[in-house]
Amino acid sequence: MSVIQISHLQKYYKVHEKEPGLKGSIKSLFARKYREVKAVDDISFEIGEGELVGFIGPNGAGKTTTLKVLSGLLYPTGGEVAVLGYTPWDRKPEFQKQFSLVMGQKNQLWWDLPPMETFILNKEIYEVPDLQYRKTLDTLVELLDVKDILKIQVRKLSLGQRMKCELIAALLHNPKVLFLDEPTIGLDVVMQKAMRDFIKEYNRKFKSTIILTSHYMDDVKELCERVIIIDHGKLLFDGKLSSVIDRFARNKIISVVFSGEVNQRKLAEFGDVREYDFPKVRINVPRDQAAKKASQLLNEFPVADIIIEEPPIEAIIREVFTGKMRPAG
Amino acid sequence: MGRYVRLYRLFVKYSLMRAMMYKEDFLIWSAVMVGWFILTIIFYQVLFANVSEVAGWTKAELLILQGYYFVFDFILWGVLWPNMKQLPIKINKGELDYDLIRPISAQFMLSFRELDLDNANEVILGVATIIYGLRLGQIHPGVVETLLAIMTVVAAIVFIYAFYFISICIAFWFDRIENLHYFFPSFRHLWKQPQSFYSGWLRWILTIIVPITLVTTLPTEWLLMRLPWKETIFLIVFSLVALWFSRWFFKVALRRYSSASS
Repeated sequence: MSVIQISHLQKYYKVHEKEPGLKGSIKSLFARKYREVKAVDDISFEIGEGELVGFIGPNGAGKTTTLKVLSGLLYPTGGEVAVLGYTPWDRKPEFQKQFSLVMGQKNQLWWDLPPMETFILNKEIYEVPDLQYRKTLDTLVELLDVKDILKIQVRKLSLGQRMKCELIAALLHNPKVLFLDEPTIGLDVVMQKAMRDFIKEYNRKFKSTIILTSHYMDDVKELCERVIIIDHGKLLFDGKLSSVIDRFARNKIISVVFSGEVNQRKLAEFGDVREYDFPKVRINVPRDQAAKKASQLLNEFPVADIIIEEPPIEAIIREVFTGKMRPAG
Repeated sequence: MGRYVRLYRLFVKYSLMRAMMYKEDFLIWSAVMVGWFILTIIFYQVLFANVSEVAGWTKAELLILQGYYFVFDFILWGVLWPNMKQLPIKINKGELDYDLIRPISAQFMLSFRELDLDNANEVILGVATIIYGLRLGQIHPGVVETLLAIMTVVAAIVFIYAFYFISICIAFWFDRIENLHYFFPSFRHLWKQPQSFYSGWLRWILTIIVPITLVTTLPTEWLLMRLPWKETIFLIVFSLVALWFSRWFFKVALRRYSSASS
């Protein structure tokens, strides 16, 4: 059964356009010009219980807007949304007790006080029973290894420590649905790994449904079997991460190690030479010709080693985001 | 209701903890409050050295009213203002998100989360002034009058809160509106005087349209045993309607909230 259902969701904004300079400011006092921005433009998808889905797209694609509609923060312009059977923007307390939103660039911890005080406050707000609170807190503190910092003022913690405590504050009430909006942003590589391990373990242990947005492909690759790609408010792809390559990649990469001198001009006839660091060469070739090109290389050049590889997912996603790549076939 | 009381106790506790962290600030402002209090008392001493009453009010009666003014001053600046000053900024920067997704009244969280206890001694000074005024005038209100005075104080607090909050919600309609949190508090000078100081259309507006003058006048008149029943019922009903309106207005305003990009 689907935990999250989105059907033809639209969210449009009216933004005020002002011409630059003082003249533009004066003009805008009397006649304001507005432009409609389609932040989310007719997207539909469903997510089942326990799924951990990556929601990716370039800046301004509509990811955060979608999460905010799902959280009930924004009213949609059109479409239907149901999370755990509730309409999010009704903001029913019964619904709000079952989900959580963590935003990497915003915080809910009280700045001047130790994290523990915010935890106590959230316990009261979410009406978490004492025993459950203690058990959940102990589990999360152990998983995130933050026992020593709970009594230190938040403003004195490092970014990584703060993010860990933000996660605890968001998870004390054992939400069934978790929206993570760039949770690893700004963290160092060690902390990013720690956060990823935690999210994976949390999803496994508590079977919570998680939507994760991130600009770090390592987050998506390590955590998400399924990805939804969104761009300019439109859904481009919804499926297994491994299928992104099949759907979008038009080329394969032939990596060759030569055992003798080669004619570079003749090599260029085979495909797009991406890297030339003799004796190693990497050539981009059309997917459907990869095997044939590899065979020709073997016949015409002195080859010590040859591999046919898929392009890295990061490169494919980058090309999708920049509009250079759209669904193949 | 119990949950909100428990939460408010936590807010008071956290505000106390913060005040103790910045104790120099707390001590300086406490001293400033005492200074203002002393100046106010000196003013009345000087005024009544020359006259025996002003518009029918004696020194003792005006001191009682002034005592209530101090109490309401703390409500305004210590309880409400720390939250109201932040709300337009939060609206502009899209920082209401966490307050809106939690299973608790967002209006309650945004209105009462912080207290500025620097001028908490105004409550003590205010009550002391009231007691002094009662003794000076040899006034002995009964239990009923005292309870009704307390009831009108509560109604006045609800009135002050509702109007202050409504005025702040205007920020949802504008990109940026600085100093909005000073707009409503500027009207407090109108309840520094008793209702009878005003006359004509001004008195009508400040009593019926927006009963600002009843804020300090009513609880004072109850202690003076003048039994202002009609005005009391009017203030209670008006305050409850204003509170209901503030909740409705906030819901309408929220539809304009567009958050801010993460």
